[in-house]
Amino acid sequence: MALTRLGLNQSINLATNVTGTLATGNGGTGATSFTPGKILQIKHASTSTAASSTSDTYADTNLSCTITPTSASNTLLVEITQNGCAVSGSNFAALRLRLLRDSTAIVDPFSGDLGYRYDSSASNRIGSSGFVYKDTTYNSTSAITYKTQLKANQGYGTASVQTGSAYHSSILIMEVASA
Amino acid sequence: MIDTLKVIDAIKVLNSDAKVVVYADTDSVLTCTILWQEGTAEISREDIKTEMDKL
Repeated sequence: MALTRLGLNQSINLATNVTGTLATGNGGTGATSFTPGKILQIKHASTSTAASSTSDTYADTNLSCTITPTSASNTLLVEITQNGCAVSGSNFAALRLRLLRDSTAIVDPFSGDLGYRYDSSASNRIGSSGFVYKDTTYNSTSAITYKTQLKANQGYGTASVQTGSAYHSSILIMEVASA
Repeated sequence: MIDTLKVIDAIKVLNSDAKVVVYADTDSVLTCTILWQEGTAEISREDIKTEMDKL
């Protein structure tokens, strides 16, 4: 085997004088399989567009994000931060939030009966509501949209998110390789 | 963007039982999305705007 010994302060041009394939474990490309637990892709979306409801029927909050999984059997971690949550207009007003995968409600609700309003003056800001959902049953490699919906529980008062468009809500989806 | 709470306050003056969803997707009550829910009769945008100006 021929060996080349470089002396002190000598350099070698890696771009032109080195050939071969770098192992994927050392940073090379072309890996066809991945160790379980690796993050394969991340999708993120945010909105500051307010939505307010007086209805007991769920409606979109404007917060949604779409991902196309690389495999139907990985894990999707869906992290939600819904900010500017508020209720007003009734002592019984309550905000409910739920999470949907496409048109299917998968957590209903993840925030419920938040911030009952006892003060009859201004709307009662109740801050943010967060949730992380581990989805192992999506079973698809087609585009999947996760979104949140809100309602004013039992139709009392007004419930709102991203209230006054002064708050940003966000959704983060990570596809994690499974075993 | 429009203040959805103010839009709903105006709607509530005109119909205290109104069930609606309002989105701040534009700057004007004349063009923002209003979803009338649970059989609530639609109120004209101009009437809502007039009421908003009083609040």
